[in-house]
Amino acid sequence: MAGVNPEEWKNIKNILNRMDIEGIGAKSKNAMGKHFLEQGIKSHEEAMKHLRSEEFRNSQLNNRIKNRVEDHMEKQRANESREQQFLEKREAALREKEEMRENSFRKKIQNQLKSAEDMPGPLKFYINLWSWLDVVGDPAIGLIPVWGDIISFGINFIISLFCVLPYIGLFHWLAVLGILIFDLIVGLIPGVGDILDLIFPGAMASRLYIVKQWENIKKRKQENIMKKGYLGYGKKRKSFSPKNVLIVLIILFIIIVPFARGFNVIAWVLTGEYKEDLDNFFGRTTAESEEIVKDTGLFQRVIDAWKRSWAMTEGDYYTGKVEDTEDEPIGLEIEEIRAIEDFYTTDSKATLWADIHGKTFVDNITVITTCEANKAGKKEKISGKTSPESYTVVYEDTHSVKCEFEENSLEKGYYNVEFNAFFNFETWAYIKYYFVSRETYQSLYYKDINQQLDIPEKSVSVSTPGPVILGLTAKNINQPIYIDPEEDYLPVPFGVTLENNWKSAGSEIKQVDYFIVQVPSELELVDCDRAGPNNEYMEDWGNQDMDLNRMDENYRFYKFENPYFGKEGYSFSSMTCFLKLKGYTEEQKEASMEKLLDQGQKAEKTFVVRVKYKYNLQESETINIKEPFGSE
Amino acid sequence: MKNEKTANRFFSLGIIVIIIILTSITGCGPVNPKNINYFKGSDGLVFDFIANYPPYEMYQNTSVIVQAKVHNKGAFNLYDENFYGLLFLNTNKNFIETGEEEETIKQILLKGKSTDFPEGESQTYYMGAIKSKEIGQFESLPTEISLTACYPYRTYFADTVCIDYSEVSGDERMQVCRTHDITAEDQGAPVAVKEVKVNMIPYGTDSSDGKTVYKIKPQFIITIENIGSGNVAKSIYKISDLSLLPPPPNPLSMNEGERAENVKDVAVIEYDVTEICSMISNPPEDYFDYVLVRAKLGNFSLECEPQIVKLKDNEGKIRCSMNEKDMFKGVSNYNSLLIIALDYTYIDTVSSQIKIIRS
Repeated sequence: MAGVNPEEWKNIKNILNRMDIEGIGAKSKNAMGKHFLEQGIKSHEEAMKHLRSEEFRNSQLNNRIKNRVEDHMEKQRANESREQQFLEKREAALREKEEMRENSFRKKIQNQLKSAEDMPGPLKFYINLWSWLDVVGDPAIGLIPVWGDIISFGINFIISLFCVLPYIGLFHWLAVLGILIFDLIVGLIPGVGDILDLIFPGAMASRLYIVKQWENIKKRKQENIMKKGYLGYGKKRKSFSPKNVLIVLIILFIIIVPFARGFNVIAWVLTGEYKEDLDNFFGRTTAESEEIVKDTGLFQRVIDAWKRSWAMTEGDYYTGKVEDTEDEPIGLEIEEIRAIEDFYTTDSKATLWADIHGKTFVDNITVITTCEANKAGKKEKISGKTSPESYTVVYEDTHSVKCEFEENSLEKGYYNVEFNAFFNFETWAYIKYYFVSRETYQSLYYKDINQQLDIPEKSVSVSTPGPVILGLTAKNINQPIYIDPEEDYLPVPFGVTLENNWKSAGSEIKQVDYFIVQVPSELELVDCDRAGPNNEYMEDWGNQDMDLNRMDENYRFYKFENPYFGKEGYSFSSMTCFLKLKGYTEEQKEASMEKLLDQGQKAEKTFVVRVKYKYNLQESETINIKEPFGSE
Repeated sequence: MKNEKTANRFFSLGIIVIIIILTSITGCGPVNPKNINYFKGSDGLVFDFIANYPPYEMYQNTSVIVQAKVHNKGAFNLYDENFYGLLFLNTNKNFIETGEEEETIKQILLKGKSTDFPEGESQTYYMGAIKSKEIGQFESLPTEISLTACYPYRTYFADTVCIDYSEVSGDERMQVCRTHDITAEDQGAPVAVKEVKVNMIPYGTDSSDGKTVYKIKPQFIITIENIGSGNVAKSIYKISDLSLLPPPPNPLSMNEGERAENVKDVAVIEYDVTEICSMISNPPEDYFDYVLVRAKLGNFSLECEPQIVKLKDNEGKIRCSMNEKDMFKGVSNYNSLLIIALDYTYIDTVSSQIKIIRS
């Protein structure tokens, strides 16, 4: 074509060939090409746009060409519409298929987790780690009774603290923690927890929550970009602010301390004592069960365990063990309670018998017996009549005690009958402390003083068998103890803690009469926390044991009376004193030290404590009271 | 047939006679005496309760006898009024009463390992009777009984050291010997010399006699260690008069007479053994971990810094060298004897448990 750039013309021809308009010959194509050149069209898209425009319809081109083009465009529109419909249908089918394929909860979560790919490293690590553990680890760990769930919770808790908290904020992290605690509590129920772990592990639920939160965070971030035109969260997260750290520490303390220090709650479960309690629990109404749980001391034991753990953490709780002896038990033991009938009627006497075995320790035991019936779900107790009401155990014997409830005193229902044996008793305990001079301690400490001088690292107090254990050493006291005449006090105090050794429900120390503490004669007890403001509750007997009426030059005897003796609602179960070398001047104290060490590098010395107290032993039996025959 | 039997008998008899003759010849041959090194091992006094004295269990209010066996397994003699050991019996007085002091504290006089006593001397000591007291209402009560030994002791270290002029002379030709560091294990005492680093410090040349000789001053870095089971305490020597201390005698050439001469150290002895051992229970600050070091190279006394070393983590380092005036002058290398003596008091304790039973 004359006057036309051959390159441009070649391009126009390509465009026309690509259009492939039916019924247009070479002549018409040339006309169209010329028209495109006039319009300055350079691409297929521009050409198509132009053919759809009014400008094309009003052009000077032949009407036949215009009609052909119009038909072509119409066909193309129809094709595009069909293709669009087909694509939409196929997409819908695929979506449906995908949804069907991913209908399980786990798959849903796995799918959700894919969106976690743009998470920060630590958060992604947490998600990926637990994705793997879900399949292999968590359900398997959960099969280990009790410990499995605790280990799983512990690992999850610690990792989430460092990997999750900083990214999703304290509030959401606490929510994650809540899910994990729920999982732990459910996991502690044998069987149920394992099944739940397989269907819906707590770790997985927590992850799902984290992913959701992360998506929300991303969304907020997008919104901020749109609204404010900058990248960021809008508000800076302060997960590690002092307030948050404090909250986390408090949570940690509440959760970890009882488990880490005491494990008493777990021990309660592991020892199987809970089974006995749960046996009574099932097969009753909720109200009845609650009452039984209260009566069996289920909650009390958990609370006691917490209290003990707390006291140990504080360092004022002294522990010990019971002496190994072949002649256990000493004190009283309710060997058996027998209801003489399977059930009683309201119009008859309800009679039970208890065999109480007693063995004296130091003094004769005076036993006072009582019995009470407590209807499940009700608070008031109905007293029965015991026979004998009191008796004395001289050395060792077994008494049968009868408990009777008069006719018409008990209504229809289940009753928990409690036998109580209230008696006086005494427990002794000793502990060995090892003393060295300060110079010896300093010189040998870094060379393993315990190994060098053959001294055990810890000393454990040993109590005589009976209802009470006397703890005489705090867990954090290490042996040996150094002594220095220049110091006012020895570096460690001396303390006593009375602990109930018989854990059956209702069995408890009712009242402490007094403690007698024997310390090596070269030492003195001072600044005792239970001696009273003017030491009126402490008697220093010197070398005279006024309780047993004897002299012992190697000991100094102290008596501590119960300041609340005879008063209800007061506790006297622990006392602590400072220890000091005997004497006032440095020379006197030095003389005491030399006597104490007795020319040796170390000195083993024994402390003895005895306590007199009143104890209530309780055992219970369930009886069934029915209406008389024919009256129902 | 009969001849064959007779021949067999003669053959058997002949074999027996040959065996007897061979055995006699080899058995009666000259025996070369063994040269035993007694300065081996990480023990000083080794002691313990004799089995069942006391027994592991005893009833309350009863008495039992306590006996201890003490063996000087080291190479130093504890045999006179200045060098003897003390053995103490300690009990928990709250539950075990002991006899008089003469019974519970014993003087130990035992010779160490030598040609006279290849295994060292040992003896059994009666430590008196102990009586258990009442244990109240306890079924049984375990308590401890212990023996503490306190004794002055000395470690001798002797080895050859090369007086090496090569560094000054630059003579790289074959020499009799070359300087090298010494490592050692133990020397028959609870404190041992573990390493001696040898350093020949050059001091130039001397041509005053018309002949050029080289001058060197040997220096030794000595590492010592408490390798026994007990604790080291300061020696009985008077610390303020260290200059009066004679150089250590040569342990390798010491006979019984020379050992007696050794006691001339008495001139500077400050503490009686009883006195220094009575400090165990309430020791002064400069009591534990102090070792007195003396050294001699050939006939020269060496100056050691510090002369009384305090062990840290059971280990101490001392630098010993010749004094300012003395130095070695010569041309050719030769071997000389380095002697190191460590003096200290050693304290060790063994314990045993006794269970007191109520009835």
